[in-house]
Amino acid sequence: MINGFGKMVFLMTLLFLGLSLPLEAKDLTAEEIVSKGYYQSRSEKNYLTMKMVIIRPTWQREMEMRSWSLGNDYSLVRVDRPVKNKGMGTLKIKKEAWSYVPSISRAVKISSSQMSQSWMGSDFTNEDLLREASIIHDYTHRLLGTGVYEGVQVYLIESIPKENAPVVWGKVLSWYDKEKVINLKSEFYDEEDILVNTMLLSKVKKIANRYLPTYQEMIPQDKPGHKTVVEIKEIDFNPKLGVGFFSIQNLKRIR
Amino acid sequence: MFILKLAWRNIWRKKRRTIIVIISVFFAVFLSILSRSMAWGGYNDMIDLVVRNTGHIQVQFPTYNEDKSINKLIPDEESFRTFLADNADILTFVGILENGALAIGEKDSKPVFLLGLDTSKEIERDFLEKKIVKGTYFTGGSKEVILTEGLAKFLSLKVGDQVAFLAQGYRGSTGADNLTIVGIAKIINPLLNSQLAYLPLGDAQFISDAPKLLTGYKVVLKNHQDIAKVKEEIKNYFTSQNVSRDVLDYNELQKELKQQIESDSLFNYFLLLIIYLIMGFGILATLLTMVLERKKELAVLNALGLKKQEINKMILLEAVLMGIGGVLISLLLTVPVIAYLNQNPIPITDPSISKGIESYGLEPFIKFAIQGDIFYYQVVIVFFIVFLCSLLPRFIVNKIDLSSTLKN
Amino acid sequence: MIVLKLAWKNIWRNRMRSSIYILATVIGISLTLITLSILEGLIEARIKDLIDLETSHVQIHKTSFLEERKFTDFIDNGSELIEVIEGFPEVKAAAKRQLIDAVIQSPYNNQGIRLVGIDTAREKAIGTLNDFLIEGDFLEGKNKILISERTAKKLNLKIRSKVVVSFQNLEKDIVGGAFRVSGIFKTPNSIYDEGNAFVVMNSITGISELNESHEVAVLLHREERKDFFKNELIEAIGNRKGANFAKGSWDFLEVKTWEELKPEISVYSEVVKINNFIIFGLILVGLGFILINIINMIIQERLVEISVLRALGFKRRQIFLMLVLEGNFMTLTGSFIGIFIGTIVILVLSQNEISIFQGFESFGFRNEVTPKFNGVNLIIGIALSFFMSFVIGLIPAFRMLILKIEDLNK
Repeated sequence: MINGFGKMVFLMTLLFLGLSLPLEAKDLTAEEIVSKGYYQSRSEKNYLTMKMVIIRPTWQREMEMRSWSLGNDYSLVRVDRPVKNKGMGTLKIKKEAWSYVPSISRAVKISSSQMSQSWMGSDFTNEDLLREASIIHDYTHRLLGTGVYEGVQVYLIESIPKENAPVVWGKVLSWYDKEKVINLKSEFYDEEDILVNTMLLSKVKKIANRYLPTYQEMIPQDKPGHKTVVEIKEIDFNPKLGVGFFSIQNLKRIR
Repeated sequence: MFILKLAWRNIWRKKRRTIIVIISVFFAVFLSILSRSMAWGGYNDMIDLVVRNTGHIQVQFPTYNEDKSINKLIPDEESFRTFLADNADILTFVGILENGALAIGEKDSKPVFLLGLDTSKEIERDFLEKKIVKGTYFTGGSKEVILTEGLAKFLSLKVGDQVAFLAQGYRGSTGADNLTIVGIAKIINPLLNSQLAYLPLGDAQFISDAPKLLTGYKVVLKNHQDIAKVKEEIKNYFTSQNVSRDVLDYNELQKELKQQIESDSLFNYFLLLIIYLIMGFGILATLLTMVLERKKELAVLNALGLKKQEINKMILLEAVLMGIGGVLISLLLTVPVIAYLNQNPIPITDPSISKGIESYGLEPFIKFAIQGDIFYYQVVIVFFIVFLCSLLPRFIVNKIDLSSTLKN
Repeated sequence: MIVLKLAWKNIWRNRMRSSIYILATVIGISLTLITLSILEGLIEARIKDLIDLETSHVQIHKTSFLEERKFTDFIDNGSELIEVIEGFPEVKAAAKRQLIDAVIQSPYNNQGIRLVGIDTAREKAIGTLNDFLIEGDFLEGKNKILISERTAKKLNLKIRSKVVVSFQNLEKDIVGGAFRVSGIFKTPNSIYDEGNAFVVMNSITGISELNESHEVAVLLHREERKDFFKNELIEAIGNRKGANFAKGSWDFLEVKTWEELKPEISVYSEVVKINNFIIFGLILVGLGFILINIINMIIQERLVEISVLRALGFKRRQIFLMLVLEGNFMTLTGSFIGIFIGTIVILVLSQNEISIFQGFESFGFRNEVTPKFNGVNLIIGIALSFFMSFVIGLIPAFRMLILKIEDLNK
């Protein structure tokens, strides 16, 4: 089970957006590197299509979906493939969320009893989806140094969660591309410094002056053969969207 | 032979003593059998309760029972069904599919436990039909569901309403469907009564996105005693097919059951031990007194040429004969009583107690079981005690001083 | 008097027989007492654990909370309710709790759990959770959490480990907080352990946005007063119905005693008590059989002697009395020695826990049991022995009574 922050970072890429301005990468502090990396790949408004692959030792499963988001508060995801699940979707407005299932033509509010359950059969729980993104507010960051990762000059940053932040990790180590200031790899440790999850980001593309890794892998350390991959197919940093788009009617209607 | 005759004659000569010993034996045999029969009556209820849910044997994906996951399913194969159908010891078998789901009513939703059943099978119908308090059993159509009472109440739904289920399915899929409530069932266990939903296997497979897949086969045998044998046969079948499956009996499926029975039996044995001890002392007292009384008679026998060893043998034989007689008479008297009680369990009339018993999922009757071992063990133990007691008098016999006894 | 002496002397005439009977009585009575004390200990511990850990004596909830467990079914003006409750002289302690369906997460796993928000000082006064800590300390200070050994195992947690707890608050927002494990508990009830985790109420009111509680538990000085107290409290609450509160009302409160909260446990203990009487009865009937046999033998063996006594001018009544007394002496001697030995064994055993039980854990019973010395059992034991020895002695002696002198002379 991939958990907590790791999943959140992952999901943020899928769903949550923040305001961003491209920064010049010169003598950045650790906080700035993280912040810049975070806002690099997000805009106030987003539309993207992606493919998620859940890999298990004996099987794997592919899902294709589209997502729309507006700020941190509004997002909508719709499944296109597999065909059986086509039309299923999740709507998030602030801290509430609804699932829509076409075969029963009902939108079901996600309640506390379902929080620990899987979101659309993925490695993420409904709870991951609903909780606020926290990489910037919940951690203190420290620049450990620079180095080379896969032939690229990188910063190595250690992020320690603040004492009362709702974060399960003991620490997170992240590798940031020095030039483009994007996260290439993160390792999630528990409080005893044991590596639990590894996140790898690759296939960096430049879209509208932003750098964006379009291929993410999440690998739990203690479960050989388990992996979740998300590949971003298309991205639009300025779709036509308003608050009104994020409604239950739209969750049901959208094609 | 002569000694046997002598012993036989003595038994009839000393009728009172014989009766006393036989009454003691009867007391022990009767109470111990009654007590074990009553205990097993209770245990059988518990076992039945479990077996009705689990069957005698289940075939599952390896480790499913320890860590239940919708990803651990097995294919429903015609060849295996044929194999089961050809086994003469098997009464019936059914494929089942269990899964967790979210039951969605008009306003509320609740996590529930879905039980996909082969609704055409007699055994499932027998089990569930009795529990229906409103509506009917499945009519044979699809998209039907029977909700437990508490669940229907929580969702404010009645017979004829639609209820939706949303479930995480096989290998990361998601499934959902609308079903019509055909019946409401009342399950005695209050926790399950608000958590269970029964539906046809096909619908369960659809919701779990698991066509032709099962959680397992539930196998019910004609005879309880054949469990080990049939289990082995099924295991061998899978070994020959080179497929790995868990073949589990109800004790393995419900580990607590066996432990409960064992703990409870411990108390029961303790009680029996007290009964045996008391009975043993009673017989011992009788036999010793008798030997003391018969000192003179024995001395005469001794004087007439019977060796002490032979006298001992005679006394032992007397005891053994009385023991056999006692046990036989006890059985003769006990068996009809147990048989009667077996047919006519004693109802528990106190409503507060019977309600409590029902809340455990049991019927409010004191039941008595007829089971080979309840007779067999008690008889063997009682007989052994009689035998032990009859060994002691020889110390007195050996001490008999011929001349002084006769002088008196 | 002479009859008494005669009876006493007679016992010592056939020492072997008398001592066997007395020994049977001793063993029968002492083992029975020991068995009962173990059973009693088991039940009493279960009820004690239930009251100490789960139910206290009386609980108050919003009607329907117990069935539906809705976060919004909280008790209005809980502090005032506690004041009202503490005004009763019967009350020893009262505590309020928040009960929240939550998810607890570690880096390795997550689990649905009932999060119990407690007031540490009050909780310590009302329950014994503190005694079941196997590691660490009870909740002190903010953002600490108590989890069970089972949860710790499943989520791979130790003392000081961090967990994130999330739930839906009053505004229906999903909120979360980080907590550090301050203690790990293990109670005899595995289901209870699986489902509960404890935090200080203050440390969650901030995120739950709920300052009221879902449950008020009351511990009384004496358990027997629970029904009386319940009625009094219902009346007191009734008097305040419709009263002007700043917010909410007490119109839909429900007061339940532990027996109503857990009917199956109280029924179980009743059934066991009845069983105990039956066991005692059976043992004494068994002893009775032997005594009848023995007195029969005595009569048989003493036919001559009895006819001599009769010839010497003893009345039938006196001989009858003598035989009854003989039986009584033996039974009573055996009973008293049995009670004495049984009591000593129980007292020795009750210093320790003996471990014999398995499989009851899922019902909340302990695997270890401390046999309970119970004065009532003792008194019942003594009374029944007296009674039985009389009744038992009577039967063969009565036979004596109807024997005719001519028979005796035969």
